[in-house]
This record gives sequence, structure tokens and C-alpha cells, in this order.
Amino acid sequence: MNPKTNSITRRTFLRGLGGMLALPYLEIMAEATATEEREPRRLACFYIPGGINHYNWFPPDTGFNYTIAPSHKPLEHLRDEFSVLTNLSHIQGRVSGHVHPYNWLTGHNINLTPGTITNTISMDQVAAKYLGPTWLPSLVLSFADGVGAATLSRNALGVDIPATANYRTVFERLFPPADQAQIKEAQARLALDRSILDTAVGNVKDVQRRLGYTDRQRLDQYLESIRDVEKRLADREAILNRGRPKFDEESVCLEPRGKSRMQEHIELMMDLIVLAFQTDMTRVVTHSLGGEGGPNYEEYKEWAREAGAPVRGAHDFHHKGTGNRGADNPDGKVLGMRDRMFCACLARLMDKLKAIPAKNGTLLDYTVLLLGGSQVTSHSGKSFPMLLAGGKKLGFRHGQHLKWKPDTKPASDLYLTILQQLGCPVTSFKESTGPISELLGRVDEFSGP
Amino acid sequence: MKISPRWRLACILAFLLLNVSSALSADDSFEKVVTPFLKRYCYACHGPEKQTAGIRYDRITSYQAGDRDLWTMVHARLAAGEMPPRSRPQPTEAERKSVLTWIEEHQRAQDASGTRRLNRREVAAALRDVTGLGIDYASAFPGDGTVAGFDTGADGLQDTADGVAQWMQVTRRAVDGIRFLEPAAGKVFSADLRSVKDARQAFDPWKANGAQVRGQAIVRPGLGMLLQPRAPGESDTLNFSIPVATSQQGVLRLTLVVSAMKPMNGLPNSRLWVEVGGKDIDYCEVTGTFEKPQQLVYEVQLDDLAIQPKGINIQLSNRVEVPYAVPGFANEDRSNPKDPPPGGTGLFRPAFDRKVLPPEKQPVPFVVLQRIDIEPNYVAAWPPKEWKAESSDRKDDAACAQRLLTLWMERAWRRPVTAAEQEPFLALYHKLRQQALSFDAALRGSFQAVLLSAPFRYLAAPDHPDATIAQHAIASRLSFLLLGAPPDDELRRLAGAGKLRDPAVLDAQVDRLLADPRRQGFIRPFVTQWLELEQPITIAQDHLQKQDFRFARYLKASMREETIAYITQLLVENRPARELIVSDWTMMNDILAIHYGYPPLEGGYLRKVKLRPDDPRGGGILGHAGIQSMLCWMGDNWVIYRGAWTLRHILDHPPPPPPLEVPELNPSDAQNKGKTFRELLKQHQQDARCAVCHQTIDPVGFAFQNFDLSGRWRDVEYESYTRNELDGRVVWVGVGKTRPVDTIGRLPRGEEFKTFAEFKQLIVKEYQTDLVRGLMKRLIVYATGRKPDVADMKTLTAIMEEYQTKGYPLRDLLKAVIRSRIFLGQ
Repeated sequence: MNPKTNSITRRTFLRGLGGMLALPYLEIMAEATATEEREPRRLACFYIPGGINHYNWFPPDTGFNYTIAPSHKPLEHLRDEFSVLTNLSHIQGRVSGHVHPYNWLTGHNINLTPGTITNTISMDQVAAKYLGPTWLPSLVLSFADGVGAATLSRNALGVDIPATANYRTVFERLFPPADQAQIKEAQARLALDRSILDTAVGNVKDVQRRLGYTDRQRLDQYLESIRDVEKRLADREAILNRGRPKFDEESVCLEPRGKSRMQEHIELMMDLIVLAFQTDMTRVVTHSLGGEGGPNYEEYKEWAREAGAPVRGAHDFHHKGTGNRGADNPDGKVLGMRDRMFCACLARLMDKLKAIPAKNGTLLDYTVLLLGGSQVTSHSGKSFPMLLAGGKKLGFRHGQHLKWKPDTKPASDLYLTILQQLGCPVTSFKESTGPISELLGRVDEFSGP
Repeated sequence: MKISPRWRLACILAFLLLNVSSALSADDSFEKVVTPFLKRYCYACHGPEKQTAGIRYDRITSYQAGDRDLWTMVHARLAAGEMPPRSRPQPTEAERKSVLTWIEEHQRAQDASGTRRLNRREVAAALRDVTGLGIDYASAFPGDGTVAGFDTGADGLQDTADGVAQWMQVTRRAVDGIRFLEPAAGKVFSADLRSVKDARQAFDPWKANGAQVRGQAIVRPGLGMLLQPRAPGESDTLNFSIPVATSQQGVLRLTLVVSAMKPMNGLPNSRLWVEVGGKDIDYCEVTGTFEKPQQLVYEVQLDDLAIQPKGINIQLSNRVEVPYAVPGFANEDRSNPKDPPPGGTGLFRPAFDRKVLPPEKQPVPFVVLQRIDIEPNYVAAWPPKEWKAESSDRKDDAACAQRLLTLWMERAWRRPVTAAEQEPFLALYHKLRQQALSFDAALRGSFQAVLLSAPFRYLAAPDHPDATIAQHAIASRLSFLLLGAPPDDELRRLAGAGKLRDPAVLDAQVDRLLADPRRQGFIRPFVTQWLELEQPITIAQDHLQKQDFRFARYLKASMREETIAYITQLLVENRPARELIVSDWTMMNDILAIHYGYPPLEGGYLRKVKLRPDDPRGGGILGHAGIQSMLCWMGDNWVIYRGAWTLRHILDHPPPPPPLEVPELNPSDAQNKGKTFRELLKQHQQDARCAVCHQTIDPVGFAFQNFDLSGRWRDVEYESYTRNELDGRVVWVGVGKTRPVDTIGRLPRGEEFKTFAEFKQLIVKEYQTDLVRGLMKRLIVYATGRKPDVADMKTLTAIMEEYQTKGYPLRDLLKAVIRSRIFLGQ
């Protein structure tokens, strides 16, 4: 069942960044959507590590005619496709900045004592539960392989879902196997699971017949759940039988040109995200763009030179050195350049999604993109800067800067809004008080769940 | 698709309910007997107009299985004459009697169920038992719902598609971890570090196979590799990266042989923290000596762990978690000497220069790693050796497959299996063989089906019509109660001989199992859930430096252990129930002795310690720091939380949950600053919605005002406190003038007390029956999976009367419940 890595059969070649701009439109995609009742809805969340430069991030004014902030300049041409949200908080800010990769998407008051980290389900995993079925329930990406601070996703038990930073691993996992033998193996496993369930169901029914009323009910619930699991097996089998989507696999770039380039890493991952959405192999993605204390990407050196800051590690930039803490702080300027780069990557992703047609619109209209993180001033949970983009056909009204009084608006409200617009049947998320109505357009504008 | 399963379930339920109600429709006793009674005496407060305590009777039209606990409550209140209230018209004795009889008859007729699913804990134990692997399978399961706070409640053990999908995955892991005909496969990384002379060469063969080793790696020839922290509170870490593919699944087995070394007297023991793939596997105290080292074996499932491109990371850390003093070394604690911690014990951090002192003279204890073996691709031979089951003439034929299947089924189902029951599973094996699966693969498929079957997943009721199944059901019920695991050899043997309804045999089994260390499979979950010990413990950082925080994790764990160890001791020694509240001893270890200001103790294990006669806390669980501290974590209103907790768990007087529309009392509000807590509560009680419950809760809560946020004794309190919390670290500073602690209060039936000691004496004198009844009711839920019904309550009353004169010895009470029809069924 596990698609085994076979990197020799699939030749890939180095490719410049410029060559990646347009993926060939996929026929299979058109077929898939034609048969489905509604356009699939998608979600991708990107986390900014180490705090943002707030001088460059927060627009000075609010409303629809707000002045675009310096960090958001690369997004200017997409102004109507995103909104800036300011002062969303978790647990009234009662948690320090270093744990934000853990709780950005969960909103949980986690305790950082070693060995006792507890957490709860992250927003993306709630979405993954309802947006499928797809080949992968969700794709968890990061700057480094692993759990803990490397991943943004936690399952229903609050357990970390391991993230991956390796393009090839992502690519291998993204699709059903190409190899006939592997497909056969996966199909055989599904058949085996069915036989096992059949035998078990036979036994449960046998036992049930001899029980009293209340006990029979308990076993009924078990049988009902087994039936649902069988349905899932059937869904998986259908996806497997549909086979690997056909596209020019050779054109997918899986080798970075530079060794330690942040922008290139993010762009390669975003290309894979576009590919995943386009082929409908998954509908939910999280991506942690960097760590709180590194990796020390090459770009930091270049930005430092440009800003006149001493060259140092990522963590030290995040702490803005010492002394002058104002807008002129050279370390802060480095962060500003970094934030601008993140926005440029997001703009590039949005452009790509916008170029792909979907039902009565583009892929971007059905995709919710969230870019956010902790902020560098207080470095606490008081204010998570968030940038919400895409999803216009899902009812979002963009092009505005919304700002609340500090500590009054839980970020969970935003998450609830996103989940509900994605069509998830949820009425609350963590600390939520209700959906953010300011973000929602008129009912007739959106296609309805 | 998302809603339909629910709908289908609802339809099935509705259909079943219709069937039942139509079967009972001939019975019009409800309209004749009960409706008129309810109308006359109850509707006024529990009817269409008013629903006091959220209870409403006018919509009930017949006896429904789902209302079982409601009727038990009605029966109790009616029988005791508590309802209707005295201020209201009272029913005649005959009226009362007829309703009581109606409840008893209907409960008996519809209440013959005891089957329940294994919970998360139990299924992990059952999988460990049947596979012989020490894997923590529970970590992959979702948590279970509870009944009265207990995870054994039948109604809480629901099933969902997600849960069953997970169940499939976990059972598959379990069968994939064992082999029958296949030979042992996979690489073994092993190193005997006692015989190594040069640390750099110790792992050369590993490195040749792609493994990496990081750490100080100091080797003492003839001794082993040292894990040596620089200073108390710090740790030394040894890291191994073992090459496995990121996609690898299955079991990794890690075997360590370790001993402890203490260069000088008076040092605490180290704790070895074992982490595999980013997951905490163990955290154990190392006490083994060079001659008698400890062997630690861990089996971990790789599927849920983070595997790096370099392989799986295994991390061994040595930690010292107890502050201690060493003669000849300076005390580095810089806390304000004018503000000593209660009990007068300072924290010591010996200063020393590690460059000058060789390891043998460092004032820190260390762990010596003598041997390490890592099997990254471990598949266990099954059946396990300890079973002493036949393993000769193992060959690829149907007879052998059937023999193994019988062995598996009888272990998994916890009872003998008939040929007819076995047939479908054997048929599955043959079917899979025809599909060209190997002997091992086909048998695994068949084994997995057994793990998905009902007799593995569900505990049978002890009144099962089949006598053999009933005997084994008693064995399972007893064993899951007292061990939290499937029956052992002796219980299986006794069930096979049909002896498990014999009171003497049952008593002997209770004695045997309570003497076994596996009793922690009972006492730990039971006490934790009874007293809600899962709540976070707060350690206020009020006058100590950072050392306090570094050692606090171990202190918190020990505080929780004190209560569990204390109740274990009460049960094992069959102490009277009053010792839950009043005694002259407690359980302590090294760090608790420091926390309570007692003379130093050596070692982290808890032992019985006689209390100082002048210790104002006295014995009993109400004075345990862990309990008083955990009831403060939610904020400043601990008088309320402590009071409500005591009413729920000690006095069997549970207050209803707070109404939703009532604002929370916030002492930090500007207008509330500087007021005493008593004033604030008076203010709170002026709201009529709050007064109903708070008039009972608050006066009880004042009994504990002598306990500070960390559960330590205090005699004075400050005018107000500022409390800041970040990452679970609490800073709590008293502000303003001090005043003596105010502990004047009142128990629910009006008895007044002035001190904590008086409060405890009053409980023992006036509320002992309530205490015991509350405990026994919880024990019944835990043991049988259901709240006691009317008949159970009658049996319980009889048991309590029998043991009243003896002072309710706790183990005798447990035995009496197990011998009774409550536990054994009709």
C-alpha cells in the first residue's frame, strides 16, 4: 500500500526557475471535475517563522481603500484577491512566541515543558476530514523533515503529523504508483482488508444475535462504523483504479539549483502544491516556511548586506539584535525583506492558480490561501498577522484591511469562517465566537455549499 | 455522504425503539401509577413551567432504557424522603411505595446488559498480551468518552468510522509485528561498551553500516559509556541515528543495559530519558549497580515516528531532577534569603570546575551505559517464549495453521473457542492461501480478523447464558478491573474449572492481584479518574530562582504520585476509610521531602513516612499538595474549585454545573481589587442564580485556604495576589498587607468549623457514610461499566451496613462488591 520510492525509473532534470511558470493544462482534471457535482474546495496555509516586521506589514489605515503596506507590494496587482487581518489572537496572548509553530493552527495553550507537550487538532486537519476523499488526505510540508516545530498539522488527537521538506518524497507520495506491480500490490491490500472485514462482520452479527437489546445496539454502532470504513476502502480503490494522472512528469522540477535558497525552496514546494491541486490528489496543504532559529538561508546574507546589518544566524535576526528597536533597525529591515519575499512567493502562487480555469472561474476562486505567523514586537500570542487570499467563489469578500482591538478577536473565528466557507459542517473551532461576517460577500455571489 | 451514516443509525435506533415500545405498550402502568404521582407532586418544579436542576417529567410517557439513571436518582430521592421538598405537599406512604415498586420492576426487566467495548487502555493491554510485544498501541487510538468520569463506562464507549478505521490500522500493525515460519530478519546494531577501550572506536562497526553517533561519549574502560550531566538540573545526551528508510514501518527494538554511578554520598538518582524518533518512550530512575545492572527493553512502532533522511533518531539523556546540597561546594541559589521557601529548605547548585575534577569526583550522579542493542526491523517470533506453547514441528500445513489460530483466538477472546466459532477465520486463512499469500501473510490476515471480531473487542456480561462464557467473563471483568489487562494464567485456570463464583476463591484472587505490582493497572486509572488527577498541577514561582522551574516537572509528577501511592497503601493494608481523610503518615520521596520541608530522603520511589506531630496538614488526601495545587490551575477562584471538588468526590454531594449565563467571578477586576475572597463571594451570592449552589460550595472551600498555589502550608495570606502565567510557568506574588488565613466555613448539613483540622474531624465524624458511599458508587461504575441501579444501591447499602462497625476497611469493601451480584450478575 505504501508507494515505495523508486527514483531511478523516474528521470528528472535540472531546470531553471523561469521554466516552471506554466504547467501544461491537464486533461484529466477537466474530466474529473466534469463528473463531480461541484468544484473541489482547497486550502493551503503558510506559516511565517520568527515574527514579521510590523513596520512594513501593517497597513496604516483600514477598510477597502487601505494603503498597501511595503511588504505586500508584490501582491499589489492581486489587491482584490486578498485581505489583511490584524490583531487576531490566541488565548488572549497568554503564550510566548517560541511555541507558535505548534499552536498557530490549533489555538491551543500548549505547555513547552519537555515531554509534556499537549496539543489539539489543527484547523487544516478539520478541513481534511471533510474535503476528501482524495489520494492524500492532506499534504504537510516544511523547511525540514519532522514533527514538533517543523510541522503545522496535528491530528484529531493533537498528535503531530510529520512534515516533509524533500521535493522528491512529496512527488513520490503525491500520486498513485505508476508501476503496475505496485498498483496490484495496493489493490491486493485493499482486497485483503475487505476480506478481513467481511469475516469480522460475520462474527459480530453472530454474536449480536445472542445479546440483549442494549448490547445489540452497541454492536450495531460498530457494524455501522465498519460499513463506513468499507465505503472508504471503496473510495480509495476508485482513486487507485483511476490511476496516475497523465502529465509531463519530466517537466516537474525536483532539484533546487542553489543549495540553501529560501525562495527557491518555497517556490518549488508551491509548484508541487499547484500540481497537487490541479490533479486533485489532495485538497489540503500546510507549509511551514522556515524555523524560528534557522535554517540560515543564503538570502539572509544578501539582505543583511543590503540593509547594513551584521551577517548572523536567522534566530538572531528574529531577535533584531540589540539597541535601536525602531523602523530603522537593520535586523528588522532584513525581516522586512524576507516578508516581502514571502509575499512575492504568494503572489506567484496566486498567479498560477488564477491561470488555471475551473467551474465558472479559476482555481484561485475555489482555493483558500492563508499566510500568517507571529509578530516580532511582543512575540506573543496577542496578535497573529494574517493574510487571507483566494476563495472568492466560496463567498470571501477581499480587498480590505480588517483590524480589531488587541486581545478581542480570536484567530479561531477566522479559522471557523474558513472551514465553514470550505463547506465543512462545523459550528465552532477552539475559541471561536462566530464567523467573521466582514469577510463574507453577499449570498448571491457565492455558489453555496 | 457525510450525514447519511448518522441518519442510517438514527433510523435503526428509531426502529429498535419503536419495537421495544410497542412490545411494552400493553403495559399501561406508567399512566396509571406514575403520571398521576408526577403530576401532583413533581410537575410544579420539574414540568412545563419550571425545570429545576434541568429535570422535566411531563414528557416522559413510559420506562425507557435510556432513562435508567434518572429513575435510579428518583428512587433514591423518593425513598430517602428528600423529594418532594418538605415545604411542598407530601405523598402518602402507599403512593410513594407504588412508584418505588414500579421503578424497581421496570429497571429489573430492562436492565440485563453488561457487555461493553474495551477502552483505549484495555485494548492496548489486550494487544500487548496477545502479541507479546511491549508496544504502546494506545497512542494511536482516539480517547474514549466517559461515564461519571470513568473511561470504563459502557455508554461512553461509542464507535465512529474514524475510530474503527484507526482500529483496523492498529490491529494490522499488531499482526505485522509477529512471524511464524519466516526467519528473523534485519540488521542488529549492538555494542558492548564495557569492553571498549577507546570511545572513538566503540561504534565503528555501526558507522560502517551507516549509523551516526553524537554526544560526549566518554568511555571508562571496564565500566561502560558515561552519560554525565555538567550540573544538577542539566542533562547529558547521547544520540544515535540508525539508518532506516523514511517509509519504513514496523517495530524497532531497543535494549539497554544501564547502571548508576554516584561519586559521593548524598547525591540523588539519575533519570534516564529515552526518546525514539522524537517521541518520549520512557523516563525511569536508574538505580542498578555495575554488578546488577538494569536491563531496559523497548519496542516502538515506527509508523507514527518522525524518520529523518539520515534515519531514526534515538536519544538517551541523563537528567537529575532533584535539587541537592553537597558538602564542600558552594550553594549557588541566589534566592532572597529573607524569603525562604516554606519548610526552610534551600536549593543547592554546587559550583565546581569540571576541568579540574575527573568524572569520579564530580558532584553529579551519572548513568553508565554498559550495552546497547538496536534492531530497527524487529519481527517477534510468535507465540512468545513465556507462553511455553508448543513450537515443534512447525511447518507450512493446514494443521499447523489451525493450531496457531486456536492459540491466538483463545488468547484474544479470553475464553475457549468452539470449532464452529473458529470456522470462518480458518476459512479466511484458506481463502488467502489460494490467493497466493504466504503461510505467515495469510495467517496474519486471519489473526487480524480475530482482532476485529466481537469477542475480542467486547467484554461479555458475567450473566451470559453459556456457563463457560460466563465464567470467563467473570475472569475478564476481574482482571480488567484489578490489572487493567486480560486474565492471567491462574484466572484462566480458575474460570476453566468453573470456580469464579466461589466467594473464597474470589477473595483469594483479590488478595493475590492487589499484592502484585500490576495492581497499578487498577489503582492508577481508578484514582486518577475518581479524583480528577489529570488536571495540571501549578507550581508557583514566588521566591525561588530558575532552579525551581527546572526541577518542577519532577516535583509535579511526584505530587500526583503521592495521592496514588497513598491510596494504594490504604488498599493493600486494608486500612479503614477514615484514613482517606485523617492519618499520621503519608507517602514521600526525595523531592516531596524538600517540598514539605521534611528531612532529606534518598531516591525517587515513594515510601511510607510518619508525619511530624506538629505538621498542620496532617495525613489524608485532602492535605496532599498535588490535590490542593491542581485545584488552583484554572485561575484565582480556588475557594470555589476546591469546594466543588470536595463536594463531588469526598462528600458525595455533587453540585450541579454552573448555569451558562452567569458571569465568572474575577478577583482581578478593578472594582474587586483589595477585597477579601469572602467579601467577593458574598457579592457573588447576591445573585440568586449563583446563591443556590454557592451557599454550599464556598463555605466548604474555605477549609483549604491554608494551602497556597503550590499546595504548601501557609499561615498568612496577602491582601491580593498578582498572577502571571506563561508557558505553564506561574509567577505568583503577594501584594499589600498580610493577614492570618481565613478558614471559617460550613459543611453541607450545617456543621461549622474554624480550622482545617476541625474540618477533617467533622468529615470523619459526620460524613463517613457519604464518603464511603460516594467511593463505592464510583467503584461500581468503574468495575461494571454502569452506574448503580436501584437494586445495586440496595446491595451496596447492605454491604455498607455490614462493614460499618469495622470502620469500612477498604480492601474488604472492594472484596464485598466483587462477591456481590453487582459484580457477578444475577
